[in-house]
Amino acid sequence: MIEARIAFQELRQRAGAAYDATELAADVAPTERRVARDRARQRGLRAVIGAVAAAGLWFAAANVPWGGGQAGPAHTPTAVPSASPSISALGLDLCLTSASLVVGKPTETIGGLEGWFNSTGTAPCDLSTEWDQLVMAHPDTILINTTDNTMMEAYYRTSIDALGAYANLGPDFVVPNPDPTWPADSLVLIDAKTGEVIFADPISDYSEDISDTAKDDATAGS
Amino acid sequence: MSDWRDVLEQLVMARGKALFGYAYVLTGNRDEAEDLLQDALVRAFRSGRSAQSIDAAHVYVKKAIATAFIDRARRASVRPRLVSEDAALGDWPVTPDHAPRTDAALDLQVAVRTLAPRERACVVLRYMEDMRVEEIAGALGIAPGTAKRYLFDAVAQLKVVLPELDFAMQDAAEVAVSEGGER
Repeated sequence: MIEARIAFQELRQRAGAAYDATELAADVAPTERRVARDRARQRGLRAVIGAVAAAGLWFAAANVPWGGGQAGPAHTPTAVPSASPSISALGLDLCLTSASLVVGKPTETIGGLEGWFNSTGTAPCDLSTEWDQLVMAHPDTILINTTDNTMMEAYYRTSIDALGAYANLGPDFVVPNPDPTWPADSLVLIDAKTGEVIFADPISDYSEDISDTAKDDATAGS
Repeated sequence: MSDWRDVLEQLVMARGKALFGYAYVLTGNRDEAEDLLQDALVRAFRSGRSAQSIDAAHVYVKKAIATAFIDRARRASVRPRLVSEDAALGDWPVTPDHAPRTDAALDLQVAVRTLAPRERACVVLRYMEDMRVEEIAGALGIAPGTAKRYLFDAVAQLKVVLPELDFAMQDAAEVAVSEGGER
């Protein structure tokens, strides 16, 4: 028997040997530039958030009744709120909020899809990745099978109320107002709030070779 | 030169190889490993919290590698979920000859790549970084019970294809792997 830990160390040693040929090993400057760019962008974002918060405080102070219901004197806050407000405190932690599933009607082989719309992040949203941006823009989504215009699944991070009628479509899961512009025989993901089509892929794309890849798919899911 | 640049340069010079090896084992691909490491460095150093010392930065970058790896895998593509997707572990390909240590490492690399991203991250942190379950959970931002389950599943799968490897650790009681355990 070989200790798994030893095998892992051996593996890392072999993998590390390839490091010398990487661009990072040759020159760290491009990475430094990326860091510097991100730090500058974050400083800018914090400044904007701080300014918005300060404006909100100023507006509230200027409009809150003072004394006997009279509007008080305009008050300019003397201290700007923390320059680094918590992102989650601003309600931007949807990336850490797991998506709840509302089960609909599967096809013969496809029970649903897995993607950013029903995954949970490992860090708060920082808006610098596509994944974060998608989750922020579309926290509640509905997956529709346009073959028979039924709901396959729905996913919500905010509230089940966000799904509207899709929260309970009855036993047949027929969607209430199918959009004629949805492509036929496809799986269409729409934003629950706006109805925006986020993506639409032919079912055949998912069904192709599904039996050959079933084993990998099953073990690759998390 | 600012402090974070100093720490970044020293980290890459002194620990780059180890961090790259870690990323390589997770991704199984040199280019992806380099991208992952660079992304993790950017994540770690853009906040400034981790740039106070090489050791602190090293820990933070390792954590960032794991989380960036999982996030990447998650957003890589939308994939269908089968109506019935019970994995038939007995059907997995089994490499016939594992005797030498190097061969074991190479077989391990192939086997690790068959694991789901979170399982892969857990098992790598456990056996490559010698982390305890609580530390793994902290690094991945998940509950200890969840980390334990991922680790249990991962080890159970690896034992099927790599029967010659001993996955017991000194504190293995916390990751007791029993045959036929619930998934």
